[in-house]
Amino acid sequence: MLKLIISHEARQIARTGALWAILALLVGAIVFAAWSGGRSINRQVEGAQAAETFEDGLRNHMRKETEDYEAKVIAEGGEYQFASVRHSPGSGPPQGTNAGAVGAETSKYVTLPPTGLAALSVGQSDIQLNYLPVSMATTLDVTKNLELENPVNLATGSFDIAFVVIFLLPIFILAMSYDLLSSEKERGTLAMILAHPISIRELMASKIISRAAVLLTVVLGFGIIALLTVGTGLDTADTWVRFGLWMIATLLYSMFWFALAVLVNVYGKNSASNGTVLAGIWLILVVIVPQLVSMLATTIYPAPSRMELTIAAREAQTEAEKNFMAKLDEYYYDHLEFVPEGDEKAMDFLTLAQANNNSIEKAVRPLYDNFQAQLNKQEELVQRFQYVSPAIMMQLALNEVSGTSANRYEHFLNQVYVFHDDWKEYFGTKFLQRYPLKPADYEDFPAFSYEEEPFTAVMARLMPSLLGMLILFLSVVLVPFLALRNYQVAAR
Amino acid sequence: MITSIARKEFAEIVRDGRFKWTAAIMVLLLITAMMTGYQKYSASIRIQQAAQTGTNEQWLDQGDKNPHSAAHYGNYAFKPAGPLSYFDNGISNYTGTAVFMEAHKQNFAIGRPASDQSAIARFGDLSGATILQLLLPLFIIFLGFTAFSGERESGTLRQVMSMGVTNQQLLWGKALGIGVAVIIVVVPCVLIGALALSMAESIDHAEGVGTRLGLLSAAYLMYAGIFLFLTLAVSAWTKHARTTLMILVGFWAFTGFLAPKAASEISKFTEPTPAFGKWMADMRAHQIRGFDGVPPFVKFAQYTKELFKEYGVTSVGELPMYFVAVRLQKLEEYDYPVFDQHYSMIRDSYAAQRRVQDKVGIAAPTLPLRSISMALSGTDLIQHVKFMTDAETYRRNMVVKMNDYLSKASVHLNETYSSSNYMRADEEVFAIVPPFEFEPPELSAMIDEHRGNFVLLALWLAAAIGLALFAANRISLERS
Amino acid sequence: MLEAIQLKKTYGDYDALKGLDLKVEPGDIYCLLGANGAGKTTTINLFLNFINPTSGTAKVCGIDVTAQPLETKKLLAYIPEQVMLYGNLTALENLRYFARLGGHDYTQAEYQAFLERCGLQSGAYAQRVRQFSKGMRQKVGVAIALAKQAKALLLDEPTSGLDPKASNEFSELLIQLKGEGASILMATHDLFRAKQTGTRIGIMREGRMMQELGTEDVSHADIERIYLEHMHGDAGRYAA
Repeated sequence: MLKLIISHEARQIARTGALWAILALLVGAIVFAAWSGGRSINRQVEGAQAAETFEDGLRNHMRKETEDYEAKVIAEGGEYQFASVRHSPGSGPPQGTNAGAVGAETSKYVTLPPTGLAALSVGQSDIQLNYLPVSMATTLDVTKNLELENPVNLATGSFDIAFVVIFLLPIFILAMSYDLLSSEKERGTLAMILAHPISIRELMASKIISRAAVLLTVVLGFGIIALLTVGTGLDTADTWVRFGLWMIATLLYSMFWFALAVLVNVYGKNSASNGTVLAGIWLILVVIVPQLVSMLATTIYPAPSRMELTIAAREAQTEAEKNFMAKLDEYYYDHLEFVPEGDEKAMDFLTLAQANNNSIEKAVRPLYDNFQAQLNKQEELVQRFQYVSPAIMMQLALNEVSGTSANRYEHFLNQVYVFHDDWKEYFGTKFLQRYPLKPADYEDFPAFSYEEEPFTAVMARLMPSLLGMLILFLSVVLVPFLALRNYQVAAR
Repeated sequence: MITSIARKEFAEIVRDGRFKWTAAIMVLLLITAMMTGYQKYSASIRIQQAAQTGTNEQWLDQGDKNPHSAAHYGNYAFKPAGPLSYFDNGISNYTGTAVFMEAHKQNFAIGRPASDQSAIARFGDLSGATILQLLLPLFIIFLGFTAFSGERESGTLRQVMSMGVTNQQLLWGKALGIGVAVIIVVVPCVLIGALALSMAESIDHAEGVGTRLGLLSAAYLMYAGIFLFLTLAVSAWTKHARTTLMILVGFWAFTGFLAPKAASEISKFTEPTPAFGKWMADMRAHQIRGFDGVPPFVKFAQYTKELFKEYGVTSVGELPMYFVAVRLQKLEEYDYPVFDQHYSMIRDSYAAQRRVQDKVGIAAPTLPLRSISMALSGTDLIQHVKFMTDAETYRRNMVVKMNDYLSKASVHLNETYSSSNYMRADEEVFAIVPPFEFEPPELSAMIDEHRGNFVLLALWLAAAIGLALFAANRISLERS
Repeated sequence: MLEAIQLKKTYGDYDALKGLDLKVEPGDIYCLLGANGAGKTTTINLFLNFINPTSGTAKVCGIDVTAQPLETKKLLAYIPEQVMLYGNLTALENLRYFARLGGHDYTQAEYQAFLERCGLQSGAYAQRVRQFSKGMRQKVGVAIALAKQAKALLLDEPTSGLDPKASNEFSELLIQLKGEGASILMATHDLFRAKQTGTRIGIMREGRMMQELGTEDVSHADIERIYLEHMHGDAGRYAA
């Protein structure tokens, strides 16, 4: 019986222009979103490569000079010496022998690699910079850069597949099912059908299944096509597990909207009024409630002002400088390149610069910790309030699944901090020892490789959102399921 | 005749329970948005002014040091919130709020609020502007979609038309009735917002707030009118109320959600902005290579020769200015054209992107309205670019002043150039750099920039009225 | 066979049906007469289990419709005042869908035979029913009933608004079905047609059965007179 009605429904909706219009729009939107999401990720990857190539180039140039110098020392005899820091071309050992110069004047770009699904949900990756220059500078210098993006575009948000799923898919679902029952009532066919041995639950179930089958097949099909075209790491299990989770989330989210359409149809009046109610609910759940929750989070736990932080950090810097530089010429600390040749005292400036940086970092650390604490509270509040809107749950879930969430970025940052310390340690020590860097040492520079967070951590953050959507769906679907038992076709 | 139609339409709308609900939600949200917006605005102005004063003091208070070191110590420019940002926060969440102005480097603004917010901030701000841009049209659609098609379904349209009403009278009457119902909901909220603004202190930097408010009202009124007449047009055109609703809600979702994002992606494609890494690498390579292909140090060597010739000297010690300071300033200046070229490349790409997005406004009236609203609220890109330009001008002036002072005051050190031999300047010297002040772009420039968008809105309104008239005139009374 | 035993339906404090007893035997065409709001449609809705009775029982071929609604619906066919069909499906597609909903399936030729038997012109079989006149749609409705091999038919003013020729054709079909042993319950306002087609007549008012008549026993004029007497409660004014 279900099969019969489903095939009837399929034929029925296939004959309406609306279905084809909706499917065309959906397919168009998915293709467009995959294209733009893919471009966004490519741009990031290319940016990272360009930056890395440039900085590696600088280091390779220094290495080349040390190689030439080493060859010269071997050929002409003499001692392989450590160079003073200097910028203008000069004679003597090259800058590449000075660990302080190499570690401070060139940066090592460390990169957060996109997951296979990054192109599907741009998430926060357009406002975080996924490649950071690690040098002997302060942590603030390492993390201050932002990806270049027109702020108008940032405010507008990405047209990625997550947008299609979260914003557009519900509209399409509702457009196909807002008049599920009301149209049959208005046409009068409902009485005709129910005069036959079929229960209204079966009828509703078949109507939903036929619509869901059509839409979800398209979403799944084009989702796979999108992944195959713009996804990466297609040969890894990780990508496909993530894709599976993505599909589960999409399924739960879609089923919620279908259930909502059923609910409104059971209690609603005519198609037009169902339509207004559903459009209103869509606006409230997808647009208004997330904005309200966001407002709530920033009002209850406002981040301390960046302006105040800047002033305070500067205060700390001034203090540190006054302590360390009291007796030394801070001028040369800024301009080692102008230290006259053979001025041994100048070498101390770099040492001091390092000490200075460290003390500034120590001084501003509590300020930043305060910042981070407030942000974590915001995040917690959002986690707790996500259950009020399926759109929030879905956005959080998709950001997690695609690895474009703030959490994964923080995981990356923590590794960057460790690497930053390693870098400073390596070059700082060699510099203080006045150890002349040899070409072979270039092989031993600290290297960074991002270690992906354990999948259990991702799942732990993902589960509340998925379960929340499941429970929301079940509670929404339960009401009409129970109500339909006593559904009265013809009221007085 | 028109007024009696309007009165009936109004009474019918207001008696509907749904009107009360939606109106209550609208009012509640508008007032919440205005109040929290206003609170945030006044807090941010307070913090900005305190921060700017604080950093100016820090500049003077930095301790005695070499003037060029002072330029390295630098200063910060803090961006004040736009005068009407409590109504439309525009792109403020996505632009930095502080620029570090230091020797040798042109910096981007840091402290972007969005970086300090949770991921769901990307759903947007609940501001007065969001509500009027997104909720208001849907509200109008809900009130008006049954105007013709609903009456056609219930059969009253035939009845009305049999009474000798012309189609146009019917249209204007209905427009008036719905319009009044919308106005009684929205206007009080807007007045509350305006009242809050008039109580606000520290908006002296806001030029012509009255004019801004007037133009904003005009733009939003046109926008509401577009949706009102489109609603009536579609309602007159379609047979069933549910079809009317589908078409209108579809259009609303398109113009409010789909079109802005699509326009943004298209503009990113046609007018790409380089990725940070690529841009930074290019710029640094350009600096090293020299703007015109001559490396700075080579250039400076030539300059030194000319300098020696000009003063007829053979050694640094004989020069009438401090050579190191000259060198610092020269190297600084060699970078100007490189910075100008690379930074303006970004700005130009943003401006070009905006032009592309404005073009999409031909298909989606929300786009021109959004641009106008941000511009008048002082929260758009023009405002930000002006701030960044002001900061860079200030930075260059600051560095020149410090290097100049050094060059004059340390002439005697040319002879004994070493690292333990330097001059120290004090607060008095640092005071020759005036405090940073941001001059917001002029309102007239802003209006010029958005003339096209105003025209687009007006065209949309004219087209909507035209469509409504056309559809009303061809109303068919055949039984469906 | 259709049977109502002390059937009651109450909406709030409004009694739509106040204890109706009714029996329609195979081969009967039972015509329910009565003003709007008399309870005719409520009775039909109760037999269809579209609404639940407040008390009492409705039975189809001895099966309680409340207890086993799906079983009884297999035995029923329903033809409303407006037979509503899917406008963008053809007559044949509509017929096939409803027949299969009823648990029957036939060959294409058999479906065509049903439509033919109902008098639908053959050119219309493959047309989408959106353009069908009311008469044509009623014919498809009867075809659905035929295809369902219904033991009992519930007709709710099926001929109102039909032109006399179509109405006549419809009555012919009913008489054929009666001959095949169906129990037919028809709500109608058409006294003439009730006398002509029906075997028995029940006059309802305000939820009660006022009087049952055999059509054989009375003339047209009698029916009209009795009907009006019941409608006005006082036989006196119109009796003369």
